[in-house]
Amino acid sequence: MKKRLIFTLLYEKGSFVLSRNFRTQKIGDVRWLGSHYNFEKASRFIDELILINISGDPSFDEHFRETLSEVVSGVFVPVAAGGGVRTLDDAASLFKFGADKILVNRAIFKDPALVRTLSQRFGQQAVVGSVDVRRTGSDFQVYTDKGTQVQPTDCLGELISQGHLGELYLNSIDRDGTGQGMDPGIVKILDNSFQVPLILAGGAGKPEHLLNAITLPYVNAVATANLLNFVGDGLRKTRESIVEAGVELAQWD
Amino acid sequence: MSNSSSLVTIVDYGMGNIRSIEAAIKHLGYASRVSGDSMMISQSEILVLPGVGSFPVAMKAIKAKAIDTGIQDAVTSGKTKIMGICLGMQLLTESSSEDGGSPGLGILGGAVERFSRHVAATLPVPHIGFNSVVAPEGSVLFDGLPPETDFYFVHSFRMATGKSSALLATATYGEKFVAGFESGNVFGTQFHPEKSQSNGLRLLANFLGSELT
Repeated sequence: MKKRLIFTLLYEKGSFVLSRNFRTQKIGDVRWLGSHYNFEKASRFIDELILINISGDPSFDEHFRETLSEVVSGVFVPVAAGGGVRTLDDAASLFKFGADKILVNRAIFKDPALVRTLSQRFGQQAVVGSVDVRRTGSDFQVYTDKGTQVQPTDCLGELISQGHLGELYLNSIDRDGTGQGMDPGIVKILDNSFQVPLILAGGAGKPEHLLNAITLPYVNAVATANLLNFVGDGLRKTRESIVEAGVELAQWD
Repeated sequence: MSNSSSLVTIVDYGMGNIRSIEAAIKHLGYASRVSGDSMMISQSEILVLPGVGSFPVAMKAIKAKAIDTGIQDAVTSGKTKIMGICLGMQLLTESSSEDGGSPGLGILGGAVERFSRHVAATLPVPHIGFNSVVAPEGSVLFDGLPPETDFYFVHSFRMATGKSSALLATATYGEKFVAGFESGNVFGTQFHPEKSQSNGLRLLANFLGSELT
């Protein structure tokens, strides 16, 4: 299977945001994204796009869906969306507004029955488990609720082994937004059982960070949410360096 | 872009990511409308049949609204071209064994079945992601694209290669299967051109701009 370069857009309460160790900074809405970063042009260098709503407030769901719909209209790649998926209807409306896959995060631990329902209804390939991991020394733990609640990993393991998650998006809380490089160590929460494609996220500050991570045999895809560093020439340069290193990516003009 | 006077009808039977297809068609300079009305479909010059999900469920929804006769009337009139995408392509064939099996629209010969057992034993099914497609010689759809081009796939069922009156594009995932077909005014792709960057936009433009034969 070809590997993938993914861009993640973080949305919070009406605006796209930059996140650093889960503390966020507003940068602008979808119009701002188009006018300041020519996002549609930058998107020509990615294999997939992920949009995550981290508002934690259902009153922004509708605006998030509108934002999703607007972004999707100019980006011709698969799109995953999530954040705040609490019900089957929440998921269905994300699909309706242009998502090809949905991300689940808190539900993995708090409502695994919902995750099962989603995979049965929309197919395993359409459900991405999004998991945040914090390193303490050489130990790794999964957190939810913006890095505040520790979670046991048994629910996650079960959902994976039962085939309800099509892939896993693993994000390093410690490296998140720091630009100091990615932490492949976070895959240790999986007990070396790599039964689903793995997307590694968190910490990429320059193209070589993404390159270093994508060349790892157990990493299927790498993601960055760093708008300032990567939208512009960053995604093109990253893609070129990955291909030059001999990693197989999809090709187009 | 070319012929923006032509109106594209995206067939709506309640299944599939219509928004992305609408966006791609608009990007290429064509106007589109979304319709589940049999009469309107039968009188359309350009039809796009999308779809994601279960084959029998889709056929049931299509029959419930008499969309099947709308499509068949349009295609036999000789004044309409149609492109099926993903499940939409499969629906154009004679049948599928998915979920207990169902006849299809029967516009093109061929049947759809799950990936062979030996594929599922070694590779994950569904087949998801970008994969290389080998274009047939003389193809309208792949005109101007390299002999092998990457497109985005998401599917568990596929049409097997074999004798066909259509020109077949193929891809390999444990086994060779039909990635696309074209026969006169009938086109189909197992992959999603609307999710395949400039490769897919080129292919869609080729379909939309093709002359009726």
